[in-house]
Amino acid sequence: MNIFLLILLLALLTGFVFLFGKLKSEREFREKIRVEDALKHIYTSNKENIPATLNSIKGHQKISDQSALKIIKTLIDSKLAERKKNQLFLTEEGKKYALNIIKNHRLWERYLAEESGLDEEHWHKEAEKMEHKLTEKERRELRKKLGNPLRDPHGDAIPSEEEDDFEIAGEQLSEIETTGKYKVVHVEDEPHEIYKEILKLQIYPQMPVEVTGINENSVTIKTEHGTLAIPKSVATNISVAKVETELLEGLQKLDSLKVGESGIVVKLSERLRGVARRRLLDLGIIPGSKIKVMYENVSGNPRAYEIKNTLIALRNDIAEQIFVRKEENG
Amino acid sequence: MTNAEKISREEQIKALLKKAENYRKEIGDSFHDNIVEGIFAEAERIASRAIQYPDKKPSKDWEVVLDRLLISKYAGYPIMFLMLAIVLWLTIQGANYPSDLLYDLLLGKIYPILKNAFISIGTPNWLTGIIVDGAYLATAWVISVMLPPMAIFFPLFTLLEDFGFLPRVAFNLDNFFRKVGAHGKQALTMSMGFGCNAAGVVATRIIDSPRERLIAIITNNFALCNGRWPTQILLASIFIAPLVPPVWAGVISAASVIAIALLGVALTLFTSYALSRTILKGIPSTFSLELPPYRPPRILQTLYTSLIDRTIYVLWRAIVFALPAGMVIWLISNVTYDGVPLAKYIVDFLDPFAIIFGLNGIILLAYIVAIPANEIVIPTILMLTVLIFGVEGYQHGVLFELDSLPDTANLLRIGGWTILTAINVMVFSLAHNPCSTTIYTIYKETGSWKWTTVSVVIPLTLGFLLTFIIAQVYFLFT
Amino acid sequence: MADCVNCPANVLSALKRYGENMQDADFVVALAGNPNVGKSTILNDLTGLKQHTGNWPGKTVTRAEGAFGYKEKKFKIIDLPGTYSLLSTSADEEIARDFILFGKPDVTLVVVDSTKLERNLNLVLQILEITDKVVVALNLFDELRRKNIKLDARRLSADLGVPAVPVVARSKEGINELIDYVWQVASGEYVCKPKRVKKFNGKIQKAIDDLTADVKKLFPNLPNARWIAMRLLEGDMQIEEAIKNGELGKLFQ
Ligand SMILES: Nc1nc2c(ncn2[C@@H]2O[C@H](COP(=O)(O)OP(=O)(O)O)[C@@H](O)[C@H]2O)c(=O)[nH]1
Ligand SMILES: [Mg+2]
Repeated sequence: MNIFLLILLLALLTGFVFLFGKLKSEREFREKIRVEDALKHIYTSNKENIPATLNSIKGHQKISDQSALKIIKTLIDSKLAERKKNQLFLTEEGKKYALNIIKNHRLWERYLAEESGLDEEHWHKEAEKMEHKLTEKERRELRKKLGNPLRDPHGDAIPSEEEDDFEIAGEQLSEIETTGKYKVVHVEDEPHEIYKEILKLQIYPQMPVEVTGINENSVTIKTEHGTLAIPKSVATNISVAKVETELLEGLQKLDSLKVGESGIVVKLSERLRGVARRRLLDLGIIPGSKIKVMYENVSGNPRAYEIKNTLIALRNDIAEQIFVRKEENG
Repeated sequence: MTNAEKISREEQIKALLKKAENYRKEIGDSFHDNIVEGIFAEAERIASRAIQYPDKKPSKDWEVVLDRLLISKYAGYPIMFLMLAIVLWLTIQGANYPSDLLYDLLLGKIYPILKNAFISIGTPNWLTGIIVDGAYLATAWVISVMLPPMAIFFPLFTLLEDFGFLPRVAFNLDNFFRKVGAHGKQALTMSMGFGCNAAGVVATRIIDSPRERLIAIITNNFALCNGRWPTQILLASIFIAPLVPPVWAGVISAASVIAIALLGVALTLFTSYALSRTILKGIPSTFSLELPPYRPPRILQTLYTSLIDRTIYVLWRAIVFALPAGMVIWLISNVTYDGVPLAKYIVDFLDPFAIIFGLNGIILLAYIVAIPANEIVIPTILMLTVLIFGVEGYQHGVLFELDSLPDTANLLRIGGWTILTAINVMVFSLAHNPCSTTIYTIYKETGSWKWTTVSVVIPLTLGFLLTFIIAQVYFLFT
Repeated sequence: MADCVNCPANVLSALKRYGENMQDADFVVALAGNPNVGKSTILNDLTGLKQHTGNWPGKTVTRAEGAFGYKEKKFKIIDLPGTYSLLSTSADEEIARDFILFGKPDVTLVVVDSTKLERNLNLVLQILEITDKVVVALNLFDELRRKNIKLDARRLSADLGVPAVPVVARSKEGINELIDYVWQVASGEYVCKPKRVKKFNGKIQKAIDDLTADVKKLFPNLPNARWIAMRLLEGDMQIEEAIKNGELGKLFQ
């Protein structure tokens, strides 16, 4: 019996040691996250000419004076940042470090958007965690796997490994002064509450919009989902750029056609990404193709379509991202 | 190449890559779309030059007629379930006769010859026991009960596959599977699982979306396989049928077996739902399902390939696992300590635990040692019962089964079985770890110990949970 | 051969089926095509193997290979995973693409579902960007006939610049002509002049042309400079690396 007791004790002991080690490394990791988040904050503040100070760091991360001071000390000690007149500026080293984290973040978001089944609502949060974990080697591999992408799913540029800067595209929808045709180029994912609003409105980067009215409370835009009045508080988190292209009108979403009806594909929504988009393209669902609704499941979802002499079943959440022009005599 | 040339070449390569990068930025993300569009436009042009369609389209293609029927609101589901029922019925009924023949040959004829041969050349008793009564007997058993149903089920299934019927089934059932985060094709891997879970797991290759494929693999075990139908039927007719007047006996036992199979479907959907929302959340997921044209199946070719690809494959793996398991079964029931077989110690140890779940130590031990094939669970239980309760009139320490239902019933009652035990064995038979062949196949298909472990732990946990609840409710009322 | 479509199934007298015995093959044939077009059936026809075939647009087997002999030559044939395209990044497509590019098969036999010609040509045209040596098997020709559709194989062949042979793999009809063409292309008797798509959206066409010229200058022996240029524009870093470390240059000397 004694021997059992001994084994039990030993097992408990190893358990404790293991747990302790784990807690310690977790604490170290949390510290790393704070420092890196501060780096990112100073980087963007510098870039946008907003002063980065003890207080701004405190506010950004919602931490105490003491913690913020500790972070700043770490940054300055490791020569990542300098203090000039109570303002913080990144050194070259610090800029590079911060940019790498931004690259990590954007690549991971792109990865989640293209290759994971995660909802867009969760991309940012996951990337906030992953940006601190990816090593340089892993980042390069990820980049290779994704085909060296240019933009993240919110429309932000992903700098290449060689690049040491990136440009911020477009202007805020709340700031524009003239009506006309625009394209959404960026959707800000922070704060989360507003981002959720934007998702609910189904506004996404690369989406063509037409601004029809501007007043002090809201901006009215015409989109593929109809006309929307966007409150200014939401509009500040959407960036747009002027474009020439026509807003396509009179389109229907594929899932709204009835069995027996047919249409010509006009475009695939930009929200169809990655594997799903490429698969549709490969099946011949491209602008100009004729597509006919053949059968539907008892529940109306999925439905089978004839496309290029083939019967293909699609679920409605995919079909609603395919815009068609209905054929009258089809 | 001189050094200078080399350097200038490197420069040129750098310039090329830089240029490509700049073009990429200029063009943006639409490059891929544009290329596909360009190629398709050309494909369309070339195709239209080469192809000439008939002036008059045939008024009604039989394929369209068939699809209207198989996908229609009213006929679609009944036809599907009828088909499945026919296939299962043919399998279970049709397997009886060849199974008996094989059983007669391997166990009735060869077994005594083999045993006598071993004895006549003076092999020590324990060696004869391990090899003939252990390894050979278990393996022969597995072959005789496993081969015939598979040799019927797989060709039938393959014929349906070849005909083009199965994708329609996936289409019809997709809405159920969509709601639980799975793929309609899982309906097929599940149906395949009704034949054999190992084959069902292999069949998940038709699902090209990683998340949905994993879900289909992990939940396949909830499809009641061939090896488990006979157990269900046996227990239902012994313990559940007597609860109603004799005229209803057949109906009620059939109904209870079907209820278990449906419980399996429910567990499949439930587990799929839970998985897709928890541990499998971030794994890639896409859906597209091509409905290929109907094609007349090729009978002979189908027979041949389904036999080679599926039947032999599964059987071979089962045999590989049955050999050592047979030895273990023989050893625990024949090796004694203080004059008591090892099995008794294990059973006594398991008993207090098993009681909570309305089972008993013998059942649990049988499920542990009979891991190679569900087919040998009942023979193992019978053998252990005879051994531990010292029932007279049976050969000790070897697998056996009884032709007569009352005799089997009697034996189980001696082993302390009640209606609760029967129901819980039926449930546990549905929800426990997959057989070793399936576990091995899951490992081969996923290449991951993690997912293999998950596939073992989930059904086992659910099985214990369900039997626990049933037992507690039962105890409450009695 | 277009008129041979109607003649009875050929006696495959000259064909030797070697099954899995693939030693000392003179030529390597890659078998490509969309899923469910009869690739496995053709592989079985040629090699005498009995690979699983099924009416399922999904993969049933991972990779199968076998061998056959024809006119004194031994051919090793490899069944690649069925794919709709070679432009994407799925694992299957990568296997098929890498084999056609880096495995350098002597002939790529593309099996095509004649009843879905357009979608299948999409893949054919992509393969023609990578390699010249292609033979197209117009399979399921019986289905086409059943539907009263006419397909002018000669015209198609001329438009594509490679042989295109009507086949009914199930009844082995047309297999004879098919292997004869495979033999001709492998031995260099038939010189392919593959069609290459020239009509992309203006900006893209210009970029492709410009880069192709540069790639050609750097790697004069490359048979698929244009495809390399397209890969670069697609952001394929594997190709980028192959260019940087000289692997691409070594491959085609
Ligand atoms: N009618 C007809 N069916 C064919 C022909 N070739 C193949 N098939 C059938 O098409 C289906 C797919 O064939 P398979 O060889 O498995 O295609 P793979 O997926 O490309 O390997 C099977 O049901 C075959 O029997 C043909 O020439 N005519
Ligand atoms: Mg195949």
